[in-house]
Amino acid sequence: MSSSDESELIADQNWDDAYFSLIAELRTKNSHRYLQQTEFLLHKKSIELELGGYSVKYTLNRTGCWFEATNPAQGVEKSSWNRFGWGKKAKRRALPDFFAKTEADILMPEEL
Amino acid sequence: MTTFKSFKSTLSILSLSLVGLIACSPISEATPPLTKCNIKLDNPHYSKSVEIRKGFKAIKVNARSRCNRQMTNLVLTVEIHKVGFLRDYKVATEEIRVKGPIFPNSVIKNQKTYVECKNTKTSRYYGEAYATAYIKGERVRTLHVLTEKTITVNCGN
Repeated sequence: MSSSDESELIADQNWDDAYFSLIAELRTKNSHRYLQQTEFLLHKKSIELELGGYSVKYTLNRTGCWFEATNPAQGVEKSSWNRFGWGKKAKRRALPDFFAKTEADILMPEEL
Repeated sequence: MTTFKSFKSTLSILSLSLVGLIACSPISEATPPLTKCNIKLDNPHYSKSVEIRKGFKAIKVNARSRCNRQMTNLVLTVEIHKVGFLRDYKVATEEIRVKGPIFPNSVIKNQKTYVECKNTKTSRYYGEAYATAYIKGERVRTLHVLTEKTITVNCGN
């Protein structure tokens, strides 16, 4: 492995550490809000909110959930989808972690 | 395996398909592409950080895009697919869109694509990435790049 590959690997690991630490922190700090959002989303199928200058939208589909965030000021849009399974039970279990992950996606600095 | 996977290459770096920008020479001499743009896609792997920080296992795929030309409206998409019995299916997708200009040789990373292991059922995963962008006002898109390896892990989803 070359030294540039090695330094890239270390940088990736450091980034991963920061990213997953933030997810864990958000999951703990906002657990109550995420549970409320989960129930609301399961009922309404789609919710919109504001976070860190982004307009955020979550939309449930048959097997998972879409996340879309736009920040016109920065000219950046992000979206992601994760598969949770068909049932409400599977979605209810997975959504709080998905909320934490997607909020971390917004709050972590861009890797440009 | 679907025919789509016939694109699978032993290289994890695949050059952008820039058909519109490749000049054709009247003689048989090959003309190199005018741009050097690529997506580097890492193989799916267990993320140690997830296990340490979050207490569960997850499969992660990282991608980096680089181009020697200025681009605008870049859309970089990374997906994780699970090999199924009748067909493969997508378990996670992550897309980043950058509207403004991206300067030549800037690296755009997408490191946020992962899938949580819900049980220890043996499963097979591979990653896929593709991008579109505007270079000199012309829309260009990459081929769909698949990870070099499809990994077999005790990670059901």
